[in-house]
Amino acid sequence: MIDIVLGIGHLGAANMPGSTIKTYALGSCVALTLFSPSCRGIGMVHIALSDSSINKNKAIETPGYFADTGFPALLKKMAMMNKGKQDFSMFAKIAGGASMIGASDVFNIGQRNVDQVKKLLRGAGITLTAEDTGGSISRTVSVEIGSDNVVVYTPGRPEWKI
Amino acid sequence: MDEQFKAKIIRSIKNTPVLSPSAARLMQVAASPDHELKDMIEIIRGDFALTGQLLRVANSVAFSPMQPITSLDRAVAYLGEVYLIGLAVNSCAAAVFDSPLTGYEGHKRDLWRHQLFCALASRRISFAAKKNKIPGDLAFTGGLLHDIGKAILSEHIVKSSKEILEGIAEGRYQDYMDAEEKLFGMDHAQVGHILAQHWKLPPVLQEIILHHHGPEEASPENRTLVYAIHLGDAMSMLAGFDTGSDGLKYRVGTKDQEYFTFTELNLEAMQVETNQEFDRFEASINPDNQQH
Repeated sequence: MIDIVLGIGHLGAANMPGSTIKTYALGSCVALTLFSPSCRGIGMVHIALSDSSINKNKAIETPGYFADTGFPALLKKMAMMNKGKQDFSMFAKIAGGASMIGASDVFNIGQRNVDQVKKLLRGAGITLTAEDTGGSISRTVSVEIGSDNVVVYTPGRPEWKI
Repeated sequence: MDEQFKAKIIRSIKNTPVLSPSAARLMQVAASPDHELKDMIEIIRGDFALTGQLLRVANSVAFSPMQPITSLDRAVAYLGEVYLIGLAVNSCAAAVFDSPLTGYEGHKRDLWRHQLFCALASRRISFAAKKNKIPGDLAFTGGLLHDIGKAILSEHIVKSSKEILEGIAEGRYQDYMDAEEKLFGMDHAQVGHILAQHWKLPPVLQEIILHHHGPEEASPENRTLVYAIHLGDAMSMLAGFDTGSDGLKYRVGTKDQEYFTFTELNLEAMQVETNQEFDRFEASINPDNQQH
């Protein structure tokens, strides 16, 4: 059993029952969680921005930082747990993509992240079964191997599941 | 305003240690538009603790100089003003920055990390100013101090976050600042301003602290500078470096394009670079610190 804590731009996966994956303080960032029924594994990536073309060096150093490099990196990690094969029954849940109150379009980084992640999932044929995105709340999310729930927490209210 | 509450705040501020003489003089010099690095070096030459810190950081793994740096002058030339100010503020205000912000459900060092990210972001944003050119290093210093009021207010507003968050959700308060003002008679910017006066910070830094959530209320000559910190503050929270229950719960100005020239892509590029600078700064002063 292992407990994985992800920082900004980091990704991780596990399939040992009882293991957990957690990431903190998603502001405009998005936590993409992939579930693989074939190997009973779960993977998560903490995505900060949508498009790696703005800083290719950062994308090489920390692929999970951007949606377009983090998503394939997470898929690769999930495939490793599944004996190198892609799981066509895989599904996804996302959380995050928040913004400040009354922000202008330029500052709507969160929505751009959410839009890009959804586009990538559609392109890969992976179903998005749940999301908790937008608003002006900073989210902490966690998942336990063996459960299909993503647990979401923000200060001031009880945690909830998606 | 609740005069009793204000009196408690004033007492807390009076019990807060003042800045060291070298830190106070550094702030004065940093706020002067035509200062030079050598002026700052002379101030800290007699501060052995700060000198030691600068040498340690300059020789840290984060910087890995080709040759060991053994003199203060070389360390400052190598690191630059941002590190000099950052280390000075970090060391002299450690008691303020290290306190967990219980009133905001924040943790130890959350305030430092939030302000550091804001400072680095504000500096980058300042380079995109349209009309009045603003010194990037002054924007950095302002960002590093903008939320000091939270450290004082926090201990007096414990267990208030639930009421505030419910009030914002129900529309009773516009944002966290509005809630602080209505519930306690003063917000963290006003508290920070009083602390800044106690610390005898230069007027421009006092103005940044007081108006960082309402930059339109700043004086015309400092408005662009204050706006840079206002936006840096927003970037810090969006990037996940908030101080607890108030994370993202502030209105952000929409006149950014009036004061600055940047597109969505520019802003995101700034975020990546700011994140990289932040990681390097934290690694250099806290080698064992796990990054956020």
